[in-house]
Amino acid sequence: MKSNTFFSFSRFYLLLRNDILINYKKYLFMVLGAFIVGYIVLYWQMPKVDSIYPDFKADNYIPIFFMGLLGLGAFVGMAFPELENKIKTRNYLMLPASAFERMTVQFFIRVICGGILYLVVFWLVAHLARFSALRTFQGQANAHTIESFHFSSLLVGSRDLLSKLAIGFSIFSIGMYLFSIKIFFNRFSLVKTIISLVAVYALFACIMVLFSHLFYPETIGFRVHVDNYNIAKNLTNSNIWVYSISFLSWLFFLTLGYFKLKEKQV
Amino acid sequence: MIKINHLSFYYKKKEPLFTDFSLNLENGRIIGLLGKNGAGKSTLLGLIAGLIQPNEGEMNVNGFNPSKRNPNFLADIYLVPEEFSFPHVSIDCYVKAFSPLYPSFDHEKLNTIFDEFELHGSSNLNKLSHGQRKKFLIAFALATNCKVLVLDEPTNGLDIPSKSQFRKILVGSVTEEQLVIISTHQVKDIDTVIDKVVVIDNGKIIYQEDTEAISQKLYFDIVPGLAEAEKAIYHEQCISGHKIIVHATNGKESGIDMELLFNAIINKTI
Repeated sequence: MKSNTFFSFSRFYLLLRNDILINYKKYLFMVLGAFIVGYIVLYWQMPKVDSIYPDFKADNYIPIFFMGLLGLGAFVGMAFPELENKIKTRNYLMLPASAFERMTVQFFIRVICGGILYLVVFWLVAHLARFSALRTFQGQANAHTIESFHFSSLLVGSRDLLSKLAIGFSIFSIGMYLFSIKIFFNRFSLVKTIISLVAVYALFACIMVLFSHLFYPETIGFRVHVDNYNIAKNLTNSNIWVYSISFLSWLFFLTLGYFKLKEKQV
Repeated sequence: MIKINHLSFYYKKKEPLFTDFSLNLENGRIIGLLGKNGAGKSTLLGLIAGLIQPNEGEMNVNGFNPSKRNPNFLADIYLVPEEFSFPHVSIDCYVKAFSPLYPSFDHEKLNTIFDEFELHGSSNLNKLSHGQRKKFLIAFALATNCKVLVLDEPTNGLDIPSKSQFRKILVGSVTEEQLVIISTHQVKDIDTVIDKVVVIDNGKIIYQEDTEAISQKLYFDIVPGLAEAEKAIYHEQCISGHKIIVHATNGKESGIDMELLFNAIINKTI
């Protein structure tokens, strides 16, 4: 395999430039929309004068941050917008670039740039919303406390580092599922991908229940029975199983998406 | 250069469209790919462009297997589809975004064609009429200088002056290193530009000949009486009498009436 037929940095750059030149307005509106919605949600959640809400602690940002990740997930799931219809797909597939370059350009825009922008926007709106909410207390006696947002507050909690990493990779894997599996669909691909994700999860749960009933006949109803045992200190067989899925499934999804894109016909 | 050997293709749950199909096309030619609706013209173009994969057989386009979609292959082939869509950007923005992807892109040529087609860089692509957008796409395709240009129904949507402009620009801008395939059922629109005719029907080549050879072999004429028409290889009634095709004799040559020739081929008289 010649390296330049698989990946060429100049072609990657040209394809990226092409995408940005064509879609930059759309991306700017999305960032602006995320900024406005994020600000409204955070400001609305923060206590104001005469508010019945208690003080706003650093960990109050966490659920809002994870809710916001759904928006980022939607942005990631809207990758390869050209594959939505036959005419655009044909134009897209005729562009002089390899499947790997097409994947990496979308990954760079949707996952890397999208992820970084999400963190920046969240940090900005968190501070702006706090500043705006604190301004309402000026000259008031019954002011509430609104703690400042720090990324380190996302990592607080009783879980060990491996579990936190597993949660992070699980979220990343879901993102990669949305990113890659949508290549299999044409119209309404994001909706179909989400439905397929739910279907895969349901199928997985059913198989687990089935195996539980097969190997542990004492299992009752729709329950999953897993025989837990320690492999090492603080590490059970279930942990290894969950970690394997969390840490590796994104790689499987990306590979699947790559080959589907490579073989796509129109 | 295109070499297709023993190609077979069928759409899922449908009858085979191409069975043992072979075709060789050399560079430096403008090929007219003709056929009735559903004859397989667009499918053949899709196969040549690598958008669909054959079930069997070998394909070689410029030394590449189109199915592999090698980026170097894609940089040297441009397809003007019958149906197209553009992003919501200006012509200038589109050119800025897409032209660097084609290494041989000629901006000077593009501007010359724009002048002839009366296109302006500041115009928004989606605010242009269908015909103007088609002209832009043809201009862009020609400016890419790709070795293989595939034009699917390029004259659809063009007005009469634009059709003759298209013919003039096409003839003037195609080089000896390029191969142009024009697929159309509006055969009259391209009769003066093509130098080889390939007619397909039901996935088979039923006729292929250089236009020069056709001129030497066949004579196209209009005769007033039915008696002369009945001696012809093929005839059709027209306002001024009968259009006829007869064997060319004594080195007599005429212009090719592509529509008449096509009808004759389809009716299996040639």
